[in-house]
Amino acid sequence: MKRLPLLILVILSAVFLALLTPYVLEPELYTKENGSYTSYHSDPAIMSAYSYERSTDIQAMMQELLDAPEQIVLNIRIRDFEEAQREFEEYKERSEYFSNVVVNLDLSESAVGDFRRENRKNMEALERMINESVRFDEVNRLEIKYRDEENPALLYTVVLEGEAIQNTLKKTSTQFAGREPDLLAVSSELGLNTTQYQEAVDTMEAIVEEDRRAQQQREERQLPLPPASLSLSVSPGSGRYLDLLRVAGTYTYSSGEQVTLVLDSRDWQTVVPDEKGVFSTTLPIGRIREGQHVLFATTGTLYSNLATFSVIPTDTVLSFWIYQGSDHWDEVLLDGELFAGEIPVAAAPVRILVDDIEGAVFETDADGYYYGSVNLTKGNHTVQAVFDDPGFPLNPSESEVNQVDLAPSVPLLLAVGVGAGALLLASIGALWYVRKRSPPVLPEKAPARSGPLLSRTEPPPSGEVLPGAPSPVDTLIRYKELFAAGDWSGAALVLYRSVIDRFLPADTDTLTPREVAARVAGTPAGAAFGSFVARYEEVRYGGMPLQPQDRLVSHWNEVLAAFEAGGGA
Amino acid sequence: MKPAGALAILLVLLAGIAITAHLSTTDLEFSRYNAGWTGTSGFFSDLERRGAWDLGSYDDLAGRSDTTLLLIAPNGSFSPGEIARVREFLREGNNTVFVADETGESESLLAGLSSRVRVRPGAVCSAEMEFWDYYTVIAYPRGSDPLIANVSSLTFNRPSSVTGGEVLVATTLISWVDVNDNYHLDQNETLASYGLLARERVGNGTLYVLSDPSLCINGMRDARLSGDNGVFLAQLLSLHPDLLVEQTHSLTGRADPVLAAVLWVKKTTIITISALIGSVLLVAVAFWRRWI
Repeated sequence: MKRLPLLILVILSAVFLALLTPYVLEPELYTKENGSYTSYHSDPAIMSAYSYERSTDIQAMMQELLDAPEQIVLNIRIRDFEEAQREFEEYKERSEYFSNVVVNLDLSESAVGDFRRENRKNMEALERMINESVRFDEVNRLEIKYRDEENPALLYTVVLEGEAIQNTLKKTSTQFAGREPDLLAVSSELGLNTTQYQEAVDTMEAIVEEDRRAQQQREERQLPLPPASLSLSVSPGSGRYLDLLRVAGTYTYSSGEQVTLVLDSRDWQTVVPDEKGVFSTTLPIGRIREGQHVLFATTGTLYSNLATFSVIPTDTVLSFWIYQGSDHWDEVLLDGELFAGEIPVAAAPVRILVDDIEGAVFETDADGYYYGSVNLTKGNHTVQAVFDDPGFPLNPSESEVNQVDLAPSVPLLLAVGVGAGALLLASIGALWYVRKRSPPVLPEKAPARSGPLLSRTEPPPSGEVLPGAPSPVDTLIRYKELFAAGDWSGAALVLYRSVIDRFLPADTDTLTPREVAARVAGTPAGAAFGSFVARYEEVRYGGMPLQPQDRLVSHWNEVLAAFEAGGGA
Repeated sequence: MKPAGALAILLVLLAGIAITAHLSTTDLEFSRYNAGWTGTSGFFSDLERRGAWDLGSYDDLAGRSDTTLLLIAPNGSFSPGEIARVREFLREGNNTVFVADETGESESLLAGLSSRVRVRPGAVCSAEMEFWDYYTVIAYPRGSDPLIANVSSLTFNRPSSVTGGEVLVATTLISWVDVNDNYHLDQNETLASYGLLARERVGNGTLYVLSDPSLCINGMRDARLSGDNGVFLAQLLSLHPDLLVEQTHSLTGRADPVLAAVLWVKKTTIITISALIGSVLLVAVAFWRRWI
């Protein structure tokens, strides 16, 4: 093949493959799908039937979620916490299902999405309401017990704990009621009936009011504390997160006896008074709820006065960053920091909400830093970090909502990589082919366009059989097999190839039989080879049948004899 | 006749059939000559069976009564004279004008008729969908009207919305207008129920405006839908004994230039006769001259 056409062919192939590269991964240039959308409509024939929730189902779901709190708070009110918890679990399950529907239908950025967010907050409020109400009930029982035991110190701690719980309940109820206008607006927009929800808000307020009255009565019933030889004080009387409070006391008639410090009804620390009966320690404000706390000292038989202090909540700031994992396309890496002012918050749980459902919880380290990963399904998701642990004297904080789209399943780099790989392989293949097909590019050996071709090639020594060529006997056996099978064309080819392989140089492969005959024409074997080729072409290309004693075989024998006698190359 | 001549005639005939088949159709959207999914050939077959007439000139509207005029996928502006004819058509007789438009091209006509109904361009999406495509909106009838009797729902295909008049078919609340045309529901796109078919009385007549002519395309007719689209279209064609189809300002009347020329020839009797005579003469000359 000539070099210029080859060069053009190679360039065209490279250009073609380069143009084809973007389509390597998606080779469909036309499908019914990509021709089935216009600005007016889409072809129903190619669309999948929709069998998921319809609008009416979604509205019904929202109505159920809106009505659910009423039954839960009614159960709380009658102190049937088991039933309240059971109802809550059902409500939570329905909320999660609804949340999935909203995500699947991509309705997050709408009133339905707003409803889902408000519902999530309601769900958290109701859970807190159940838990705190259970604690308040426990406090009521403890009060009866300590009153029976006539233990004024523990009664006092119960009073204070009851007050703290009551504050939490009030706060929860206020937040629940505070969301009412927003939820009513969204519900109205979505055509939902809010009667039961409004009743739930009223019931919740009634529960808080009843608990407030119970707490007030408890405070009024508080027994006077007797004077004791054990005293305790806390200074300052209030503090914020990570402040240190000094706790000090005296035990007038101490004899090296241990003193236990009880914080909010639970043993906190043991101290030993010095020889003067003085003891002290520090109380770091760490993981302790906001509000009033009570501390007293006891030796087991003696009780100190009650020292109280309050913990003031601090605002927090939660940062959140999100990255797509490099190894797994459905893995999302995330990290962030939690700070209370300038102070990093350590050992705090940060919840990761995926589509408003808790997907993971990570704990901050000493620097307030947290990190981890979540696995997401393909599609659009919202991911948000939330800190709202009531065990810390810290106000809750939320990060911004991050949108994650895992739709592109085939990344550009991969597509380009595969395309480039295909191009490279094609180029290597083309190069191999060109080298195989081209004659040796040695100017002094290059065959002329006219004149005897053979004289310009590197001939094997006269009469020498090239290595690897089959013997004449093997060739004849193969010829007869093919002849018997009726494959005359194949049989003729076997004879022709045997001559080429045995006596002629490798570059002869690129020539037609006639060109080879032309090369050999000037040699003693030329006449015999010419006759052989003439018959060979009749059989091979002319479709003529071979006879049992065909002249092709006799010409072949003549050619062999001539070449072996040194009449060829 | 020589065998070669007979073969040549046969080949020419076959080629003629192929060319005729090719030229007798088009892929223009809504075209009555388009047999593909975007065309309205099926709907116009129904119209022909129903005995509908093409409205050649708006003057033909004068004096008509008990007639439905269909204007499917309007295109271009209407002249004051044409609007006046339609107004008169509506006011005088017990007639109906049915406009199916999603681009707002009917604005000049509706304004000229002093109608309050307007088509608001912008694709309506809904979670109430027939297929996994927000644009395949399922909407429900409201109130009563002969047009929506026995219709429990209708399936639309990328409809716009209508405002004004009495809404007869509307989407559910979880629907929105895809303002930025990105297919997704964004924060500035409000969930609401959107009207897709409105009615208004004009004089003695009734004006219906549907915000999606795609109900008439072959793709929608052939699809298995949960909506009662077939019932709706059948009732539309049965509103009155007489049926007219507007073809001068409608995308349904469009054809490719070659097809348009063929249609013009077919419509013009003298040209049709001349073409036939010419063909016969050509064949006769061919025989006489022994070309074949």
